[in-house]
Amino acid sequence: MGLTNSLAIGRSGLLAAQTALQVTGNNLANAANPDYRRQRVSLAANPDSPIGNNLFVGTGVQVTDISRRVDEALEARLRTANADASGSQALADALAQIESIQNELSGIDLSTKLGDFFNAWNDITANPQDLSLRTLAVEEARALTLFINDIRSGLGDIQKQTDDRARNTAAGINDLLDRIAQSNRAIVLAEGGQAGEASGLRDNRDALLSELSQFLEITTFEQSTGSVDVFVGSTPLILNSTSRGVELETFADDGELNTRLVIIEDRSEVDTSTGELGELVQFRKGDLQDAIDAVDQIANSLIFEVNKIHSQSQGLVYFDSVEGTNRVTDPTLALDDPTLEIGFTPVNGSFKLHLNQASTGQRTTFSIDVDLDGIGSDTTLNSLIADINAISGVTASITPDGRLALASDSSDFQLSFSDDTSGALATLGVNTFFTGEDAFDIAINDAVVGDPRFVAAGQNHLPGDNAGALGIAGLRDAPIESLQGLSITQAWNRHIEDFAIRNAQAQDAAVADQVVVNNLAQQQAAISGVNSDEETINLIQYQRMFQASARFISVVDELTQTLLSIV
Amino acid sequence: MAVSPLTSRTADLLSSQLSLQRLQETQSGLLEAQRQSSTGLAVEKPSDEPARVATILTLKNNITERDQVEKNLQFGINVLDTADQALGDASDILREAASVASSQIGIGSDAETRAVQANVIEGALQGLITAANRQYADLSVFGGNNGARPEGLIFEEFLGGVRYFGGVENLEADFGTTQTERFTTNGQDAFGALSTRVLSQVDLDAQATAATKVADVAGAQNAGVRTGSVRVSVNGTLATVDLGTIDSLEDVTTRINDAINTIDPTAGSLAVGGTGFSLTANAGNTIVIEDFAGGQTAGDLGIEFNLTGATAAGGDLGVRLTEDTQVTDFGAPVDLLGGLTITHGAVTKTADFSTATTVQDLQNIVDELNLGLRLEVNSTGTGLNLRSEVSGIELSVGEAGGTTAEDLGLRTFGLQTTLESFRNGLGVQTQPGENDIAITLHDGRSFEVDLSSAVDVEDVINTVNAAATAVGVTVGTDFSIDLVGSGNGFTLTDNTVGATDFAVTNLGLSIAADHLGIKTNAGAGTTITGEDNAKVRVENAFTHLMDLRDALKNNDETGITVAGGKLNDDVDSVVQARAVVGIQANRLTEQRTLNEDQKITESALLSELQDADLTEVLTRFQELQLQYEASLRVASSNLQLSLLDFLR
Repeated sequence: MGLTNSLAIGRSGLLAAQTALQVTGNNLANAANPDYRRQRVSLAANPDSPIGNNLFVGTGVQVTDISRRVDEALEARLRTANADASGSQALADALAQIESIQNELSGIDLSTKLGDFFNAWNDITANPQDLSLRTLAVEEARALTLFINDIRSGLGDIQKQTDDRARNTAAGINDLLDRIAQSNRAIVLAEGGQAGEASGLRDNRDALLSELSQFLEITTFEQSTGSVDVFVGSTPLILNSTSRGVELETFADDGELNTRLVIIEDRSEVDTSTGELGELVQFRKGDLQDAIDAVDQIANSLIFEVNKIHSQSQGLVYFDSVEGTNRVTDPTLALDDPTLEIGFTPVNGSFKLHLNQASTGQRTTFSIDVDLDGIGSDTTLNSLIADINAISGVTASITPDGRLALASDSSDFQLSFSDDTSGALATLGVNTFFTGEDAFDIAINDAVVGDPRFVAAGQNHLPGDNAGALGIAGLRDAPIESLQGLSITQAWNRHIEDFAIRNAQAQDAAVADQVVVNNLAQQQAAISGVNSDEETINLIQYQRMFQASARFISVVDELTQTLLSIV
Repeated sequence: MAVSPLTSRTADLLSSQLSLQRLQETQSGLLEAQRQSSTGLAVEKPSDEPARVATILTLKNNITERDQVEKNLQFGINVLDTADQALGDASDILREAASVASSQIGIGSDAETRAVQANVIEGALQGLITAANRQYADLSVFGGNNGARPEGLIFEEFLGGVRYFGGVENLEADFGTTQTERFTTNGQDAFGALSTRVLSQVDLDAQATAATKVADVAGAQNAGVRTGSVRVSVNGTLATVDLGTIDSLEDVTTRINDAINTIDPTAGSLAVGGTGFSLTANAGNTIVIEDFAGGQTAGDLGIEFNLTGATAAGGDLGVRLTEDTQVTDFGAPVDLLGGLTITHGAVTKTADFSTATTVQDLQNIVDELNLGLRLEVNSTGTGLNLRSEVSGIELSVGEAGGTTAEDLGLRTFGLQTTLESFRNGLGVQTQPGENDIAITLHDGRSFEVDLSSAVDVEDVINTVNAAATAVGVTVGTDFSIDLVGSGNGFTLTDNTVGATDFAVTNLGLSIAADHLGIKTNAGAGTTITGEDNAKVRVENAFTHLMDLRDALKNNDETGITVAGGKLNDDVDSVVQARAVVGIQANRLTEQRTLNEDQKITESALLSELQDADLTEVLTRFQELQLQYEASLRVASSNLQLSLLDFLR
């Protein structure tokens, strides 16, 4: 071994130390970069050089590898956990939005409004001839309907926001897929099939994959070229450095418009059961739709049940003419035909139409059959009109937009109604208190708003009677068949209870999933994170290594000088 | 707050992120404590404590409802208190009137004084009307379920009497009990404001028709109709028929016949008519209609049949009379062409029922007379009652040439009219064991009649006829006694020939002929038309005050005595009505106390569930603050230190 070789050994030490110092410096420089995976320098002794007689001497050191400290299995678990956490957080946030719209327990909520509404009718029962109480009932009803409209509108806004957010998320996913595909190509190009890793590019790709995992539960498979294929379930999103592209597709599902994520290329559906996008899609057709259905059902039941009582009660005045508030799209179909989509369904029965003579106070009663037994000819709007027109003194017709219109033929006679066992009057919206069919359009009948004397609080045609008001006030606790035997207030409370549990579960899940992410992130950090103390120690070591190598070169140099001085 | 386990190797970023996470968690806890301390609520929104939400919502609803119940109770108590005061005033007025009556009997008074006192009683009458019209918050407390006349008066002077315009039922409201309770009283209960005698005993026997509503039948088992499905078997082939939504009897025949026709159109059919349904199973066919186990529908409808080649009637449905019932569907024969002669007070009118097609038409025709009368279907749905709403005047309902009044059971002087009800309830006074009246005929024959065992008008006629027969008078030829064909009263006819006056006289101390309205000497005349002494009137304080007023005006000591006595009875009735009102008010007052107690209990429970425990919250706040401070110190120290700080 000569001094020249010694110089080479020193040189290798200097070079290796410089590289290691660069790596350490890079680690320290990225100490605060959450996407950075620390790198480690692998040093190895150069192959020994034989100096004869089975003696070998080392030839220095070399950097054999600069590797990223990454546990791929952990990364995969972290991506799954990320999907769960971001999904459950998105769900918790969305449910919290619904809760804030419902605003229950605040005193400005549907429970309170329903209570106030029923209380107002209760007030009428105590003093049925007090017109101001009827006006008050109308105002309480107005507050109730507006609040229900607001809830429904708020839920509609959430629906729209969710759709927008899902669309934006899908666009974001597409962007991420493009960028990951681009990273793939860059990595393949940079690494070129050689040993070693393009760490920066890989860190960048991992960051993108991590970001993507917030929206979808992805799995990855790394090709030998360094390219990563990305799957959701068994559906590939990126294959061979090419993004297949996704978009959100709207489709009809049981009459409801819903959305799903599809591959642009072949329209195959991407499983979105987890991840932020998945939770958004699930939330839209699950919890959000449930919340909408609940308030719609409450509104529908409230409208129909109140109207059923109101339509067969009487106010302080009777009608010269009255129009139904609900359209019948085909007057030749039976009134219970589901295709009519009136919103309410009458049953076989009858109602009474009264002609009240103002000048004498006398009343003539006609029983109108509503035949809906499905045998022979059932009652249609046309046949109903024909039956009513058979009564002398009353004219029935259909308005241009398909509503029933009734009018007395004489100014001395006025119309009133009672004993409706069929629900036909409520279905058609004749002498009703509410209009509309669900939370979106529930309102108060203009006839009642215009003249509170039409608030039908009494029955038996006694202006001082309160049976109608008593019936409506009694709806607070009355079991309703369409609500599975619960009362209107009970049904709403049940929804709030169920929703509260769901909401709390979602919040708990969000916290729990975040804990999992945190744990995994800690494990990831333990492996891939930069510890400045550790790097400082490395720095000292590599500094010492550099200094020692330099010193060694200096010594060799001195020796060389010594030798040269001999010459 | 979840604490992540520490790992063996700690990266710088992890350390700072963990510190941040801990600080955020503590801040979140501080914010929650701050929210709870500022709102006072531990549960502000449902997701704060889902397990408590159901109870909180229920309690909140209950408290809202109790607030309303409290209002209702207060209103009801006020209404009843007002009624109590009014009845107290009425009682005072009647006591004073009765006292006046007492003071005007005997030699202590004279015609002039009585005439003056008549004015006092008139004032009392007006005072009673005012008391009876007493209102609370514009609600007529004696108006029942119709105390809402626009003018606010439910008792008004009408046809010389006082008419009641209110309802016969009472208003009810939710007072927090299991069922609604009444909180008004009405003229009938408080003052007996409607007549009670013209209650028909005639069962008009409404027939079952296709249009008859299921709700208007008593049911073949007298338990109404419990709707459901029935099983129909035609020659062994079974079908289930849903009768759950039947409204009319036609619905039953339609559905059963549809089932039969579906199996075999020639097998037979179900029809409705008479008292209910009838089934025909054509020759060679067997039809079975029966309930499923536990069902009652077929039984209630009276259509449980097992019939082969025959026709059979089902059970009697007990169809009730309603305002919709067609007069042609009366099972009992009723002459509607004759009409009614109705005299109410001084006004006589004829109710012509010839155009009536329904019971409601009959009601409208009576109403149109504007005599203060109500024609009502009786509570059992078998017949009609005629009620007078006017106190102080008399009502007479008789025939108008036919038998309408008798057929409808509305004649005030009919064969079944009891003698006790004559003379406004004073009755026909007879001499027990002695003959009461003597009837002398033109041919000189006469006969005496002992009426002491007669109970009603028919008995009088039969007893007189028997007495006539006993002396050889041929009833129907020589002599007859009957009711007048138009109006009311007896009519006696003497067809014998002779110089003797045809006369009816009292015998001995009896004044039965007077009381029956037939004490008449017709002389040579052949007919004696009696007076209507069986008129109906509303027996109440208004009537008796008017009686007293008129008796004082007429200087009628007997009348004063009788009226005074009845007024004393009225005082008792009013006191009794007041007691009932008082009991109702007490019950409501007790209910109010109970409601308040329950509200307090529920409010306390709600507070326990929803409100924040401020001591606990503030303690927690303090702990969190300490934790926050400690975290800040530790984080700042930890993050500042690095090996670099120790390297030179």
